Amino acid sequence: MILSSTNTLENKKILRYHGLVTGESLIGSNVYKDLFSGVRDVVGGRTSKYEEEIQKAREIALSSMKEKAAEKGANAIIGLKISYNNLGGTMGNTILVTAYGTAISYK
Amino acid sequence: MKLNTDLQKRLDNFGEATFCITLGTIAGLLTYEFCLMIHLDIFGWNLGLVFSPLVAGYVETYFAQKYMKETTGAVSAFILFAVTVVYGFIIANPTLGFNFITIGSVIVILQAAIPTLINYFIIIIILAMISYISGIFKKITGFLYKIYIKIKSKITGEELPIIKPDKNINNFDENLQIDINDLGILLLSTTHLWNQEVIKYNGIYEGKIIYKAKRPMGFDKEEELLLKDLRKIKDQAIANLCKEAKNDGCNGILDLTLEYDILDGNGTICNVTAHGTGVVIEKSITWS
Repeated sequence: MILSSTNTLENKKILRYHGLVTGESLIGSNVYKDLFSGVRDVVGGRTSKYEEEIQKAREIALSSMKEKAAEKGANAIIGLKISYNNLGGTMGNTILVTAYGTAISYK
Repeated sequence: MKLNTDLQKRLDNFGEATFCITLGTIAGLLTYEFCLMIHLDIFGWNLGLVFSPLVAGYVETYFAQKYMKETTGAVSAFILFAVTVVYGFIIANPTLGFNFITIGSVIVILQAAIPTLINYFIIIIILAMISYISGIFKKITGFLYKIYIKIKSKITGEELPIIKPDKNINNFDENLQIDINDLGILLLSTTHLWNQEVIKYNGIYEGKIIYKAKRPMGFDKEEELLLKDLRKIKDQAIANLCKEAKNDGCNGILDLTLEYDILDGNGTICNVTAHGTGVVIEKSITWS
């Protein structure tokens, strides 16, 4: 399935709009007890555990979105937006990763 | 240049300063030994605790003034403070143990030796932490404000303004199932619509919803439940947006954007906003 943040796909004909599809995932606060070891990882040049968690969460959000699009019979998602929102306020840290876009069928 | 001469002067005086401090320390130690020997105690406290730093500081300052014409800051007094506390509380009385009285005494002695630092720690850090966590000052000022308002309204005869905390600000229905693509409006996150013409742009529309979580979201271990709730409120925010747009005759939303904002410091109140441009589009066979 094609994912694009653009408004259209060049040289492709859009046959049908299937509507909005969304996917979300949460990074829980228990990741943060590893944050200090994560800092050491960054200094050492390796990818920190925290970055891996964010990547994992993004993949989960995107795949849940792709599933919903596939159910509708779409074969591409355009106008894709991904946002990371901290839900903890000034205390605690929970990150909500949201991915949404317009599901379409193209030829 | 000035720094160098200052540093140079200090380095030149280093030997003399050390000598004065050493003299002071020796005098203090001798005084302490003397006080211990003659058991100069009062209520179980040896007065050497007080006298020896005094003597040490005085001797050091006397010699420093005499030979260097400036003070060395009574460093030997600090040394004697440390020596007397360590000896009196730990070495001489190994069975004293840690209890309220001994720890309190050490804090009092430290407070006398380094008053600014200890006062900062007690007032700024500990007191502030207690008041922040318990919210005690907030409650006190809230109470005083209420009294002030009551008195003011009695004097001026005005009506009491109603200040009621909104206990239930949840305006989302947990049991409502919404399919956002079934609301009769075409939702697009793109800014352009292909294969169809936009007949009219009706402006920006917004759908909002406020959600009060049961626990602070920053510490929520029950991620699945929280995620479910967040999905529902997102759908309702979009539904509110569609309602607004449909009232004005729109049948499509372009450039739909979702925003999640936390409204309080604890992460319990979340405001979800869905906004987009409402348009009227001509229907065609490619519209699902």
